[in-house]
Amino acid sequence: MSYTGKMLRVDLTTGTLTTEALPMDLARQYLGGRGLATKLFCDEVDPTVDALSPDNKLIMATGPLTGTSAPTGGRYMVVTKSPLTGAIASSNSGGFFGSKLKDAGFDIIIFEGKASKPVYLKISKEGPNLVDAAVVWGQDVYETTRLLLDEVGDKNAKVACIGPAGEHLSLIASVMNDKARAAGRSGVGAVMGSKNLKAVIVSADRNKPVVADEEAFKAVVKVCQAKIKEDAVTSQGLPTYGTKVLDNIINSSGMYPTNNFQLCMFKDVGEVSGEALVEKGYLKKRKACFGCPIGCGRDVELPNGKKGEGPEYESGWSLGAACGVSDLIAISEANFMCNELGLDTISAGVTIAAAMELYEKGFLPKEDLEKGPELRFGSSEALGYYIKAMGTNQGILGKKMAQGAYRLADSYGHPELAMCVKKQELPAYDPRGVQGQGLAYATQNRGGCHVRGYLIAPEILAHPQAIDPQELESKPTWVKAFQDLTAVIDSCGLCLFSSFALGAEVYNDLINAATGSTNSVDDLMTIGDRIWNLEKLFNIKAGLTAADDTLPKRLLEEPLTEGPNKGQVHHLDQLLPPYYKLRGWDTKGIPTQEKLLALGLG
Amino acid sequence: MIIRVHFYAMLRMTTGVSSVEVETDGPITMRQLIDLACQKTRPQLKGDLLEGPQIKKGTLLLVDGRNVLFLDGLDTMVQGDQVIAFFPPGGGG
Repeated sequence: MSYTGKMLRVDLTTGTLTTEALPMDLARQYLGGRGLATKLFCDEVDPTVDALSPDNKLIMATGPLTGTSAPTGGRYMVVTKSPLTGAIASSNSGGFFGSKLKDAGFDIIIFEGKASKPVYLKISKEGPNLVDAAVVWGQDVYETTRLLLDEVGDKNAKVACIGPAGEHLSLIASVMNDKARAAGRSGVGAVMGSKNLKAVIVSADRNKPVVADEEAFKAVVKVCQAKIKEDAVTSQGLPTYGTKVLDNIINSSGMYPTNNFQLCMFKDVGEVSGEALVEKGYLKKRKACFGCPIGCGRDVELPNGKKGEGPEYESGWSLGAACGVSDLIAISEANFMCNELGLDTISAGVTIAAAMELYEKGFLPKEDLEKGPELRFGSSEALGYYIKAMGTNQGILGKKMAQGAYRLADSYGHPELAMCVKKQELPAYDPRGVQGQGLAYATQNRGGCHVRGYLIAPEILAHPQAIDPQELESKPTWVKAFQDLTAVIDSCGLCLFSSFALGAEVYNDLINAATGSTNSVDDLMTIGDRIWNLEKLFNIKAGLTAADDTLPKRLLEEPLTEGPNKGQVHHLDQLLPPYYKLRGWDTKGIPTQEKLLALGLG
Repeated sequence: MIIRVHFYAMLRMTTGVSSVEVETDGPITMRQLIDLACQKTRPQLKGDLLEGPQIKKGTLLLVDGRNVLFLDGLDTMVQGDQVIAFFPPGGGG
């Protein structure tokens, strides 16, 4: 049935490890990954819990297609309550950790409580056990991974861990796996740190999941592979240039946020684009996650000899144009540092961008810089210095910036300069130029995020069809459909990039053949809707309201000053009411009883 | 009038240039511009951008940042003071 049928519960307080049966009735309703983990989390955790207390839990969850031969089936999810947003957090990552976890015989790991001293979880052929982490506590992500691989003596073992940022409870700390792959968003790394949980290492032989209908599954996989090979995005654009193929597209479209969203076009984009990464010779080879024929990852070597992965589009933007930095070497090095420290690149860059605007406008006093460089837009020196400071929690500003852009800006009396939704930093698309994406931002259950409803695809990339980025009427319908479908993709264990080539019908065929389900496409989309509403209910119980479904004031009130969208603001006031109605929510954004009953959530 | 066309991503690799200039007597349609750009680079460029009479799915032909699909399509008039950018299908995030 493509599940292992087992989940591991780790009580860090007592050191007790228990293997439990995967609740298959819930798996049918929530698939796995993001959906099933969220359901388990909501059933077990009080939404008002302090996210950094032992009462919070953290779940690592694969999906039914993780580890199978379905293209891009290497994903897993980290679900917890976010210390950054106070909302549900579910961060997704690729690499090889997720498939290895299934090889070891577990679909899901639930961590609860808090260890009395730093530990890591080792899952090997002898079974799972907790091990003293003194040898790796304080080490960065790369060194931690190297030490643990040596310790286990299996170079094919896979490691997910936190870096110094997570240990110091930075609210923008990520969980890293396979060194440079990140469950990046919402501060999930801080939750691991709060539990004194440094890492998980999994050593296991290949143990391919058994699907329900092997022949049917093989046939659908073949269809998927053909579609991915035929599609120009998945067969050419992403493999050749990676996600940074977007820099010039988004900049030309006048929605490439620059200098903390004060501008929407970056004059030096040619210096930092995906094309530049290739033409300057920094890109050495492409890199693929488990089972991925696309291979959007980048192995980069800089002229100074430094090597690492990335930058991807989002990271290159947040550490580049968002901060006005046009030095591709400095941007790449900043990306490597974030990976080593275990910092979310989007949040780190946008936090520095906020600090730069605060400083340039005189709200952040010079004495708070201590010995650090001036926070001027364009300063690559400041970029590197403050990433290290926030990742290691050093100095006045390092400590403040480690809490993310909102808390930093709020501490200086100007929270409006934090480009955040629900206190999470926004990604690389100015919503004044793309109205649907702005609605998706505002309504994200996990705060500022672009992937849970990637409206850039139809609004800018003309994929699967072109829709006018400034048109309003159709956008609530598009946003809901994309949000629900993404919830499905996140829950089955595939990569969102597969959706450039695949549609809901193919996903449904894959899931049915793998799990033995007989869902229709409508049934599948209802599962996505159920997951979205479950997350929403958690957030409401956690204290979030309709007032949190908004965008920074700048994006609602300050018209763009240049480019094809000159004069535009985001029209959230016109988009939100029809979106709520379409969702079956009342005017305050609360799901109606009728809606909940229809989804089995009543 | 000189109209400059900027190429990105795979189009840079296939044409071997990042931009090309074409000379016209005045404003021309996007369709005519593609033909002229083909003459200046490679005949296959047209097939890279178009599928029969249509713009290929995901291909972006931007005039001052606006997708011609939301202007007059291949009949969109272009002239020398505009920024013309051609992108093959792209994606990411």
